[in-house]
Amino acid sequence: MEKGNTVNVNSKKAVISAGDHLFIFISPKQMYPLKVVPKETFQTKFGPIKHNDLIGVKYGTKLNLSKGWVYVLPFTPELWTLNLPHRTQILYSTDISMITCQLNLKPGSVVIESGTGSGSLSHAIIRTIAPDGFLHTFDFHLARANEARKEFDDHGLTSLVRVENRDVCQDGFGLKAIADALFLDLPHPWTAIPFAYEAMKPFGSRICCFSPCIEQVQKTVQALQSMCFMDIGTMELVSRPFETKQMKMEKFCFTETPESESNTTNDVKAVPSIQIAGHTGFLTFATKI
Amino acid sequence: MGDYVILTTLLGKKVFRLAKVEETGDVYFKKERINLKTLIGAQYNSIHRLDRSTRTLKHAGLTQEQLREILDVSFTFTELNVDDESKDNRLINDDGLAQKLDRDDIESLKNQGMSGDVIIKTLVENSNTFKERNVFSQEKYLKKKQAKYSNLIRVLKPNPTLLTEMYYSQGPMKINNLRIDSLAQMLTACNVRSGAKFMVVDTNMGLLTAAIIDRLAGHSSMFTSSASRDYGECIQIYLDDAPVSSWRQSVDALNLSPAVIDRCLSAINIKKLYKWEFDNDTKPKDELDTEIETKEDITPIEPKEVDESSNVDEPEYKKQRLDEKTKRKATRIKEENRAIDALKNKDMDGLLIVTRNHDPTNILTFLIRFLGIAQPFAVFSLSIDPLISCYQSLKGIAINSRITETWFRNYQVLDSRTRPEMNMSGSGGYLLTGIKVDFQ
Repeated sequence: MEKGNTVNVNSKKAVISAGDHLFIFISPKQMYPLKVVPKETFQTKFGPIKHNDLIGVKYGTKLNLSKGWVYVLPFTPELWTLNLPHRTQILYSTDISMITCQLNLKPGSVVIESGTGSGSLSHAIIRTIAPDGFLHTFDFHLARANEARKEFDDHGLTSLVRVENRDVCQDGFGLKAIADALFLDLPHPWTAIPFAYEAMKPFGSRICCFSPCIEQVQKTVQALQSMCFMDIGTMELVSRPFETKQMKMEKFCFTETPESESNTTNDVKAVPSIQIAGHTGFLTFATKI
Repeated sequence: MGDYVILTTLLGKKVFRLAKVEETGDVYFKKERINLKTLIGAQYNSIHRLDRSTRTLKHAGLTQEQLREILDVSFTFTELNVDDESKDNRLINDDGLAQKLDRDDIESLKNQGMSGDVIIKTLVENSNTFKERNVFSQEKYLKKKQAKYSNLIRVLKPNPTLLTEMYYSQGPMKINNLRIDSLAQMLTACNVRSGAKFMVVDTNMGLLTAAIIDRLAGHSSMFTSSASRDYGECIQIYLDDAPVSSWRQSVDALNLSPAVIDRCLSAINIKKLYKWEFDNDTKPKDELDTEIETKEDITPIEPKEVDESSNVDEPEYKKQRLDEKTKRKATRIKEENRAIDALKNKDMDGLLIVTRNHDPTNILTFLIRFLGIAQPFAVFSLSIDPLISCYQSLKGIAINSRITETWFRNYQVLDSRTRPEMNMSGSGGYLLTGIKVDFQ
């Protein structure tokens, strides 16, 4: 039985039912994940939401509360990434998009990931490889692996993912030539490269290593070279958001003329956000041939 | 056979060539004329050696050790190495006199069928400046020469990421500067996944369409098209009166079975859709294609010059051409009807727009009506201004609207010489993403 309206599960679902995972949207910076459990109540700054009132409501509906309104949005990996409980540092959608593309993920791909962390990337991977792909994800932290397993289960994804508590740098992946793609986000990714090589399919499978520091990249690239990986490339991405706002700008007057027609413009302008995330990590990709 | 491959160089700067594997007919790659028939049955991502005498590719069958040697140039270098690393380029003048061999000499070496390695060794022996260079510079020299004279070619399997890289390397404007990071973000922002239905306005060699199809059909499509599986749908909405010739070039390159393509890809002209939307009460569905058919032949499947070449066959040729035209028209009508079928419920799961010559604003505000409530959209633009106008037009329709740009750069990673690459793309375009909601 399929549980809830989860990561990929059929998109035709327009109406909320019990067990669904969804988001309460107040503003882009204020969203809350919610699992619909009958008889429970969820508190927002605009007043309480009775879960029972959500059942039968269409997704995307504006919900009037006692002190304001909110929107109800269906689960997507992207909204999950923005609102998930952090157990570690997580990957965000800009990097995730690039990883998904460069690893050539698509329905049916078999993917290996380590570490699982908070499962931000995992959800995006699962969405893309469903319905017939599979994700093997490893974390050396026992509690984290257990948390992740519980979460995947709760999201109805058990047929698409397996979580294992394992230090892949020490013990490898225990898998041979099965992965179309492999992803490493580890403190010492280079130590896992020989194991990765073993776990990956020959003839064109792809690997990605995510590292915040350039010294890590250096060592990883050397390790990749030593194993004859091809197409080794390192890149960095930073998303620059813009704020769109009405900006009043007065036209400078050189002479003291009385108020003429219109001396001010009042247009919407896109202004780059002043303070942004400047660095997440370097992405290193390579192909096994 | 009939499949597309991407040829690329094993060494040196990457050069890409998309080619169809056929019995006859040659392709040009790195100024060499090559017949690809020997690739039939070959493994994707394998390395081949160009046999210059037969102009065909032979599987190189490299062992890991041989590959290591070929890739690890510094290893070869250690044989030639002088351990003085302090040399710099102060003694090297770029006067063209450094190499004693001239082009004719090198050509004759090549024609003697000498391998790249031998040629390079000869070049090094005849270079005045090689010994003057420092270790890094010697290595660089070797790598450059090795890449130039190597006859090793990789045969890659086309995928949307590679195709993007290939077109982008041929000139970013060929794909409207839709850089890989922008394309990647459009796909995630719209939650593109198997089993869902997407609308795409795409004027870039069908690149975005191909990327969507790839994520609908995936691996399974290469074997059989299992009848029970719902891949989802991609509806290509084109702005020109007839689709331009390259509208599905990237889709074709994916080598999907026609049965799969048939099930998940359809197309409609936006003006027809507009007509359908606003006077569909008065007209039965089959009639929707009587209007804009005159410019049918914009699709340049046959070059015009052929007409003059053979007068004898002309009636035959004309008939053939007419047949093709009717066939094309029939396919188009079929696709249009399928598109209308998918669109009429107005519950599409995502909308992706990349325009080249048109302001996306009214295209977005028209097409968004076919998008389901709570579903995402993404618009790409080379400049930010059209997106501001899109953003304004969405007041009362969408939430979580964001305009972003991505700063993206590649790195050179070498021992003690790691740094950003000297050249980078100044911009990969701008994106507007958001979610349609019901404001009532």
